[in-house]
Amino acid sequence: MVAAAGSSGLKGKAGRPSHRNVARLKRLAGQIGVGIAFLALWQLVYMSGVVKPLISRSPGQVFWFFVQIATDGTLLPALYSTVEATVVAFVLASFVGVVIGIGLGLFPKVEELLDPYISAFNAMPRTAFAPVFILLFGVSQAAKIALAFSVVVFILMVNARAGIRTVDRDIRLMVTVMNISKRDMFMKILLPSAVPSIFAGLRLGIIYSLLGVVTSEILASRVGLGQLIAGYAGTFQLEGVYAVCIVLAVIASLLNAGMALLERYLLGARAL
Amino acid sequence: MAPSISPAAGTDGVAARISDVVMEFQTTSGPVRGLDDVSLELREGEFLVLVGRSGSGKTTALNVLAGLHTATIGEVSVLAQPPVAARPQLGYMFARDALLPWRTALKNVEFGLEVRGFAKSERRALARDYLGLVGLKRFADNYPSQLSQGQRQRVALARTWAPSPKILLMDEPFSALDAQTRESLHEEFVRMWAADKKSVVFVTHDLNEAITLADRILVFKDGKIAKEFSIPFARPRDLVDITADRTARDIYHEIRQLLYQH
Repeated sequence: MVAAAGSSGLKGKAGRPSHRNVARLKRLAGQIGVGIAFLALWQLVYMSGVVKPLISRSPGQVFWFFVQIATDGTLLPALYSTVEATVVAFVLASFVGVVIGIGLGLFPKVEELLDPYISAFNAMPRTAFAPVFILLFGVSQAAKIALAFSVVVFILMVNARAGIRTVDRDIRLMVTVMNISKRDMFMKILLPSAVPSIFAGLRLGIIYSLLGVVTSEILASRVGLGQLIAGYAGTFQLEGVYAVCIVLAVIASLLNAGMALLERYLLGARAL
Repeated sequence: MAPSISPAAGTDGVAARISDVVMEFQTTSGPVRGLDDVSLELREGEFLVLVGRSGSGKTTALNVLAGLHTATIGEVSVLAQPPVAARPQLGYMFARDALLPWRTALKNVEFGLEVRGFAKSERRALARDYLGLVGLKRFADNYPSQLSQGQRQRVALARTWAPSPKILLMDEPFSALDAQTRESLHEEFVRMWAADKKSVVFVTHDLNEAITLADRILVFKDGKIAKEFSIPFARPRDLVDITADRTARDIYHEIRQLLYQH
């Protein structure tokens, strides 16, 4: 992942590639070192016995549990279901959120009217809606997607709106004196100006989509990583809870890195 | 200076005219007069420089010509039209380069042409020419973040120039640059200007810059034009010669005195 990110960089402008690779390897080695240190600390805490035996598990126990669910056909269907719901919710919410956000950014009068309600709705704990979605859609993918959607759509709405609003004052002045048309203003100034802010929203949105899906799964679901967590917690198999949590952390990191790659690919060398 | 010429501007060698303009701004402590009964003419092909301290009205006068402010009282005409209608013939430039960070240098120069509806092949060729003219041919594919401040302002200069505006309105365009960069940009700017003698209104607080560049200087003070100076030196001008010249020194000191007396 890290190596792939480098190859799509600027045309060899920032120093010689070999130097950058050495720096990157050093950083990677450091990051792996921190990971090993964390595992060692975990093992020490486990052996010291300061944490209640009820919830305390060693890295080894968690690892072997992971191997077991990965090989006995438990993990993959759950993983697939969770990732599928996450991606579907993310794509739908991003599209809807960006469109609404841009609309609000373009029409401040409309936004003025709606803003108190949008803020109020966004402040409500979305977990509270999970039972409603489950009643509405049944214990299904759709219920998970609905909850994640209700979280992510606001993130993209807010970021797209902010992006449209924060056009540089100097650029605004320059294009005013050019008598720029409304269409050019939108396509050539407002939209490109909003791209960094929208991307920040997308990176946040994909993670929140995952969180929304898992929350819904924990509350009620047939299959999914959240459902596994709820099941293992209910039977005091904490090694299972930890194993799935680590799987989730890895998925989140991969999604984040994927978004970063996409951003770099799409934005290229433009300043952010 | 006296607006005694016939009002049919545009046909009489006048590129732009401000007649008896009062410009009031509303502030929390009541209205403030940015311009207080100002009249001025920009002749065709003239390099007119407006100097003054900050708040003296020089930038306000420029912005009235750009149609960014509407005069409270008085008439403004640019190329015998209202300023907003004349904008396609205007080039406007200020201290910040206002380049679009998501476009390369070349695409930034193209931008002004694009907005004015030039065909793609034509604007690409024009943009290349003007980028070459400001010495940045090699940097065509660089993004603004990969350029120095002087280079960025050069790109802005090329962008302003490429659509061949009839009038240039420049608000301290070189004030954010270091002295050496500023001098080299002056040279390029004057060379480009000499080639097709556009009408220029140039706002600055730098008196040396004003005397080096101007055909005529208007000194602004408290929203009024305090005095007018004609700058007699032949072109091309040499900065070092001019700084040493006795007449230039006299003009410099007279303007300085005007600006600092109360």
